[in-house]
Amino acid sequence: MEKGLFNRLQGELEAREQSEGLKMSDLLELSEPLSGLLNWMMRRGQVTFADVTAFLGEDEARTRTILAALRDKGFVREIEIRGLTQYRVRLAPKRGRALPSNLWQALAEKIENEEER
Amino acid sequence: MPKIVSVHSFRGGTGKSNTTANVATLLAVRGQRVGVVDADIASPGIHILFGLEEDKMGHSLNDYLWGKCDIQQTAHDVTANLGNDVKGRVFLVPSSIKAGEIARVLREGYDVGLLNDGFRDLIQTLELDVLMIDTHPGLNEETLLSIAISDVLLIILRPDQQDYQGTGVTVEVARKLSVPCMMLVVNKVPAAFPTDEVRARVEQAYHAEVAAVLPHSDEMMALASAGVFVTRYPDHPITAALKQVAERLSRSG
Ligand SMILES: Nc1ncnc2c1ncn2[C@@H]1O[C@H](COP(=O)(O)OP(=O)(O)OP(=O)(O)O)[C@@H](O)[C@H]1O
Ligand SMILES: [Mg+2]
Repeated sequence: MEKGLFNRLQGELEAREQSEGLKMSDLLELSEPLSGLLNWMMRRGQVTFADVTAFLGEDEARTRTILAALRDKGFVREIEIRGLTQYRVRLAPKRGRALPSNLWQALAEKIENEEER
Repeated sequence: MPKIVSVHSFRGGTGKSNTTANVATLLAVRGQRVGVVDADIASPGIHILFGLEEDKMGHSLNDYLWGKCDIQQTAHDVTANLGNDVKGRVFLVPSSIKAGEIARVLREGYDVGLLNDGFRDLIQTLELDVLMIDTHPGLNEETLLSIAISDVLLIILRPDQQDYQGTGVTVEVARKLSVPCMMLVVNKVPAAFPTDEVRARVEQAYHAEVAAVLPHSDEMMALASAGVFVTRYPDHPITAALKQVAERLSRSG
């Protein structure tokens, strides 16, 4: 990719808050090729550094920079599988929904009843 | 054959669960090994169509998301409930129908990464040809995830102005997420509506392929999700149209 685009992607990532993982809304907001890269990684489960380099069509230094930025923002994590470093998307946990507390109370009692059965 | 087919609609009650169950069955009739996941954690229901009774449910998707079991342990082979014509297999991963367990997953949330891994694990361990994901209407995290990772997105809509507008939102999201193949199914079309015109208008509105236009049917209403329609009405026009959807899916991806 052109230097301008590369710098813009870096800027786009730097501007984001550090997160506890990728949300689907992030995926919708991020521009290409970042959103495409993360989507492809989600589908694949885990990918190697060489896979990412090939996907982006970039040299190793730039690939490393992008992966490091994605990791710093909490979107990607590295894992070791059989001595090989792999990269996975880190998906944000889905937060619980707030309901009026008396409703949760009633449901909690229901859970206890079900668990006793 | 696409690996992951997500079935979605922006609004509720369009016929997602019935379409999923019927198309899954027709794919299995064609000899495919099909997985069906009830990703409608908040209001599950597709297990009813497959005749999986609550007390036989064993492990559900909820148990997997809470780390109580592997995803394979949640898969129920429901093929025997689908008649004698099925050469392949249908495995259903139900969501819990226990009020307390639904409440818990809504209150505590869950690990979305685990859900994503679960889809892929299912395909691998059960050697599935295709995994169909039945979703909650509208756009929530698990629905968006299933759209994002799908090879084919099947969007169901009724000929209704609210559905038309909502479908536009889904189509836009799917394009943004680069879903490789998107198809629409127009369901519950009144007999008085000319099918070809409905198809042409919908195709033009969304610039997407219409896989089927299904009439509103009293037989479908009367069956009331108590079974898989195509096994009960093998010669019905809806069955013929759903066969085309199954055939179309087999050809794509
Ligand atoms: N072509 C049709 N003609 C008549 N009734 C239909 C038709 N398709 C579906 N139905 C009925 O519409 C109702 C809703 O169908 P279904 O549960 O499949 O929709 P859904 O989109 O999964 O709903 P939800 O959004 O609640 O999950 C059911 O009672 C079903 O029998
Ligand atoms: Mg449904």
